[in-house]
Amino acid sequence: MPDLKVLKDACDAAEAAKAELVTERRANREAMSPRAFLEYNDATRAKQKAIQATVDSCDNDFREALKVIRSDAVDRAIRVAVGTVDEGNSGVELGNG
Amino acid sequence: MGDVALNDMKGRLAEIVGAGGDIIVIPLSAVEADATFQDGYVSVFVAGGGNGILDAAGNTEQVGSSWDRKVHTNANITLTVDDTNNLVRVILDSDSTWNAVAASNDVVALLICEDGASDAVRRVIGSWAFVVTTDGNDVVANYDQALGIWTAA
Repeated sequence: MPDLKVLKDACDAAEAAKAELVTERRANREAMSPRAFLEYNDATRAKQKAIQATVDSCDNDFREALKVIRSDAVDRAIRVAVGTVDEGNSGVELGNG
Repeated sequence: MGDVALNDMKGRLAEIVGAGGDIIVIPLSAVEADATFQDGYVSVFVAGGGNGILDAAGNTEQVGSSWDRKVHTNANITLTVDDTNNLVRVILDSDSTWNAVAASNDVVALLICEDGASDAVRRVIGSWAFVVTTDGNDVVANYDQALGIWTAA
């Protein structure tokens, strides 16, 4: 079972780093001349790309984990419905001796 | 409903990106008819002084469940010149994802805007048709990495 808390914490940390970057960019856009802002933008392109790559990666890992959890939940619900699993037992199969 | 640009802002997006600007995407639960929207409002800003795009009764931001605004920083936007079709294309390098959006939090469009320090300075470029009936699953806006989200001719 994927550790959703670990993955969620990673997503939150990545989003927080991006939010900090965005806040900095908004402030600089207001304060700097157009030329100065362009130079600042050029100097921070690698940082912008790296932060977005981290956000995308964390998001992807979280979505993949949710897929596994949903798939497992559906599988279990089906098995409970058809009676091969007792709903009161977590994963114990009936009919095994 | 289609993809419509504010007439007042036509041709500006490429210039904004070329100047180092960021784009912010705002999900909408309601948007005015194309003809009304593109003819514009008192101002081109997202909101402010009762004159912005979101100040109009027919345009409503969707803030329910996990919907939020997504910022695309300048380095993650590609401007590409298409000499075959005589266009400039604006391409968002990353898709926007909203995780596990609860049912009954539908959207009909995405507002594409120049980002800034507040809604009073964020200029709206246009509205992009994006109809989603939410059901608890993730929502992903897949931006075309070849054709881009907007073109200027």
